[in-house]
Amino acid sequence: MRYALRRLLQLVPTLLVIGAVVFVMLRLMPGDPAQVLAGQDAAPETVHELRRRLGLDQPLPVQFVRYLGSLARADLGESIRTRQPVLEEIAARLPATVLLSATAIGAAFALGLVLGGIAAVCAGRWPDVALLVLALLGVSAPTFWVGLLLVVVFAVGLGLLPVAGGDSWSHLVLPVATLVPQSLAVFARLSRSTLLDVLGEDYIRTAVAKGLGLRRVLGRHALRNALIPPVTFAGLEFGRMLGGVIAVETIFAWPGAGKALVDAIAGRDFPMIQGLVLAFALLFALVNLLVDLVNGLIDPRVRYP
Amino acid sequence: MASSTPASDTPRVPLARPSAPAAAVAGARRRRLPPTGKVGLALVALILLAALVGPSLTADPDAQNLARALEGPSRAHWLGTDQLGRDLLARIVLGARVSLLIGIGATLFGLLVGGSLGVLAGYLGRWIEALTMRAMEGLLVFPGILVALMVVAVAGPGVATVVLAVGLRAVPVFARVAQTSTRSLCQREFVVAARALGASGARILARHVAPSLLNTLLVVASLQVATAILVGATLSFLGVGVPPDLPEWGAMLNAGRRYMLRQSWLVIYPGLAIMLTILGINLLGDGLRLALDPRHGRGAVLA
Repeated sequence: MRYALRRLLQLVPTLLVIGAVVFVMLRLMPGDPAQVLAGQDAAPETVHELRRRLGLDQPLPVQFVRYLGSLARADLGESIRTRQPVLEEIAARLPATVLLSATAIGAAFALGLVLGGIAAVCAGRWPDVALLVLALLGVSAPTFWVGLLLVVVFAVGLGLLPVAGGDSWSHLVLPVATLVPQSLAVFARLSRSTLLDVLGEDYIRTAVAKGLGLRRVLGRHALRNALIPPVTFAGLEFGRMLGGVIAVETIFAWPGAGKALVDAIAGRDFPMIQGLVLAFALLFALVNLLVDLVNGLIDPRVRYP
Repeated sequence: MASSTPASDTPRVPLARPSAPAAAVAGARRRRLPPTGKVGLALVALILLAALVGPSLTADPDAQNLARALEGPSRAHWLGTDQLGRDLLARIVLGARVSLLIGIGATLFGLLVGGSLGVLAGYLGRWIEALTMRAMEGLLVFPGILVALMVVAVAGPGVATVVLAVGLRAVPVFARVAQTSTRSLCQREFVVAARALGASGARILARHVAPSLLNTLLVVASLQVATAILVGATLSFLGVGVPPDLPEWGAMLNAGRRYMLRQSWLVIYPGLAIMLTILGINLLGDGLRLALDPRHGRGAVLA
């Protein structure tokens, strides 16, 4: 509990950094930030009002503090394109993105652990080599290309699964299948190498020597210690997968926040860009917080550095 | 930013070889590339060849012929034609030039900026090191693709923006590797001896630290090129990267998406080109890691 609290406090500097980087991004945008945020053809009064509200006539440090204040009040402004509050737009789309990423990472993690385990037990024999080749291909195939191939095969060839939209569970199948291979390759290789390391430890030899069966050695002794690196990696994988998630949302018309970010960048809808960047960075930080808490549960040593 | 290996995002890279660069150059202890590394080398050589001399062997990649648009593979057009009747093979071959330019350019940017920041931080230590590395951690707070998208949002689309966007993502990766390696190098005897002999800081960095770092940074860089090509292609596929007319593989996939249900070759071959390039670079990079660092018997290829 104390560990959770301490880890939660470490989130504060992260949030400050996120706020600072996005603040710098807004200042780097060409032109007057108030004009940029209000849109090119906003009325002068709107721009003036926004400039006063953001305190753009104040010195930079004051502006930064006031900016953080507006963020703390979750005041993200209105989308230029839809004229809806940015917060509502994000709240409507983010859950779909989280559902997609979480399902894909969960599937890749579970499958990767199983395949990596098989490869570790069969180290050097054909299942191991087969996994090695598949992992190399998986890690090299761009996610968006896998998505396009799946659409071609399932829409033209088979017509089995829906290729666009996000209304039912069957709509989740192809997007997840697109995202899984690359992550699976990474998880499988990582699980294999950590399991091999753990299996070389003395206490495993002891467990085998005292006559425990393979399943018990793996389940009781090896797995718990081999779980930390893949779990830690799952947090990083969430960030790495984001590029693929955005592409997948575009390919399969999945109603998520990644597609909204690309649309906002293409349409220079700066309030939306700002809000979505903040949302994704915050989500990434929270996922890694969750990962640390889970690691603390798996291995008590993590809690006392 | 689909990365090539876990190592490219969490630098789990071996520290620089203890021996001075002379040993590596002499070749006495140089290991040979493993077979997988040779396959990678062949693939990379093929792509490089395509980028350098390919465009002079193929048809004009910009010649439009609307009468023959969206034709399937034939003797005249080996991989078919696109929506404007341009030869797909010629555009894919020219695309190697664009993709390699982005991949290598972005990696060089990350290597030069991140590497120098890391070396200076590791060598100078104290508050400079703390400040630099905090800033790098600040960048790592954001997922890589988000950094790239922010740069594109600020600077607008274009080839130079893509190089900068993808390169900025790699800066903290290189900085961390360079900093940890420099720190450990600075405690080694040959650096301490050089300092005791009165060598200046610049001389120590240039003559003793930098050459020893090179192997380590080269391995990281080779794998980073693959990641950079992938992120660059992702940006272009999303329509916020290079201008759509440019024969870039990601942009070609994006353009071909509209026709993929009938003209599937438009999305099959450009993607295949990306995959073979990344496969080759990954194999070569892992092979280099094995060859340059004998202590790391189990590299990412086998691990």
